[in-house]
Amino acid sequence: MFLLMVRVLMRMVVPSRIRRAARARLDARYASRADHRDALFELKMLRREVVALRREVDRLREGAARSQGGASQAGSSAAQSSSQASSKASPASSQPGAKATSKGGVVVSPAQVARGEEAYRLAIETAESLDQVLQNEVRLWQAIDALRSTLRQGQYTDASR
Amino acid sequence: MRVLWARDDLTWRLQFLLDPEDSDTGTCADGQRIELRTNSCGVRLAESIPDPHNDLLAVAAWTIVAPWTKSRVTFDRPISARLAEALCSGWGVDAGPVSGDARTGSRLAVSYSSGADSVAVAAMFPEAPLAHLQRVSHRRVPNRWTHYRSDVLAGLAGLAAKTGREVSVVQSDLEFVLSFPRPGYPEHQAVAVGALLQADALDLGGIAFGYELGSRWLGGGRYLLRYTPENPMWAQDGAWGRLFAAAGTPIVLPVGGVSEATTMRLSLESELRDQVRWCLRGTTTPCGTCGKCLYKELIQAAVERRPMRTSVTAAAPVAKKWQEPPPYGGQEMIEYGCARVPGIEETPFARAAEFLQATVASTAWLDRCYPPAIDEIPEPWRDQVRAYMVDSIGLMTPDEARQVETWGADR
Ligand SMILES: [Zn+2]
Repeated sequence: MFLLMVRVLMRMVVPSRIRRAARARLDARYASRADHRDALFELKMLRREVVALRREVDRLREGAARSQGGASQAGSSAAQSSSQASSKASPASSQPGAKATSKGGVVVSPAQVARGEEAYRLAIETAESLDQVLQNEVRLWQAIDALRSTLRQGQYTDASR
Repeated sequence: MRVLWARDDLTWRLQFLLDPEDSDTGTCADGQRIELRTNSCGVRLAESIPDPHNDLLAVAAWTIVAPWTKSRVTFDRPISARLAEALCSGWGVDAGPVSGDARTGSRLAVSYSSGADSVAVAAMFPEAPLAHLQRVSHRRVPNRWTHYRSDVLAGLAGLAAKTGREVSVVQSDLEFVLSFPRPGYPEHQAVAVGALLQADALDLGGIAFGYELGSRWLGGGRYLLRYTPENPMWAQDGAWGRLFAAAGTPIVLPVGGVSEATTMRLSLESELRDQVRWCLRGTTTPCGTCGKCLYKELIQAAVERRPMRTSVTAAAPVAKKWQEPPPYGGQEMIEYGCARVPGIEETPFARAAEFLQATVASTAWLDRCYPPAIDEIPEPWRDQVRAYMVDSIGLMTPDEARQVETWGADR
């Protein structure tokens, strides 16, 4: 709103040379539209990725729930075939809800889904914290080098005395 | 700043150490604030060649370390007095040690991204070798940006060799030394590190870039809507222009005087047309859904005078900015497209077209070449560019040139 008012006012009364100078100062102090646009674009892509991941998690959860439910009572035909496989396997292992492989693909348990989500969170956080470590490393060497050169200068002064 | 290069067969490894006065937050020549993530990177050449002149190594390093250097830069190999002078006058930094002669060369290479602009440049100079820089992962930085398909673009650049072009694909992780705002070139000129390190082997006397009228004279994306004769990145007598010239590889902008509509047309008419790709996300084909695909489809539809082919609607997030009033980044091309695409009112640009009220007449200047852009071309290539522009594009009239020079002044 404020910027809009400035723009309107400038259009009305201020000569273009001054207007340009003022705009240059404003632009230098604030992120440009292009940067905003880029940042927004990245955010949007990230949001889309998160949505896709969430959908994938839901799908896996559903598959897992179906395979569990299928062990007691028949569901859809796909769940049926996987439940047949798991009901054959489960008497031997006698672990209801444990992972089961069917001809149709891998069926994942809720525990595995949770582990996947955890791994994703950890990967993101690790990458972010690694950034900090890398930056600190640069700063640390900068400090060490500064100290070294101070020491070297000190030695030189001592020797020349 | 202290700069150290080490060579391991095909790979040049760069390490840079901050002096006490340096800071890990800096500013790129276009004013963007950028932050340092880590202080090493590598450049992997496609084939084994002799070591380049020290000035070339120094300029390549400077494209990476400039934003974070305050007052001095110390190279591990001496540079020529001419290069030290260009660093001092351009950035106010003491550069050294100084020893030895400056270099020269004779051929022109094209910094080649596979995009329409650099393909247009490649088409203007059929004999020029093409230098592509491919982003690869940094061994210290987890790559969270795999949607950027640098491998696909490098593959397309490699395919350009099938047309008989001399192509080199150089790989680098240098974009990951940036942590903010995202991986990218610390300075725009870093895209040329491959060409610089090969400059002696290829006998280069100039490096051509695909920066067009909008990027060179209308301020590009960052200086929105402003005539920028003094553009700090690309003006021949700007800091970067003088530095590259000092290293015997002056910056050449063969399409600096023409719009993206013209480079699009030239690229689609060239023998490299099957290898043109502006989308960074698609694999076998452009993704068709990103913001860049949408923008370029508008221009292509305008050039081909046909309706837009896109599944993107006005409600899509990538189309959101076109529902708002101007100014827009690359606005001259939005005006150009809105004035020419049949059925624009059915596209995501309908609102923008209403706001802009552009016509074919009001955007005709974007089909011609801005003459001062030719005068700026270094002498060995100036006449060739002028002949090309006069014969196949046409020069702007003084009235049209005034539209460039008053761009944004009345807004
Ligand atoms: Zn795309």
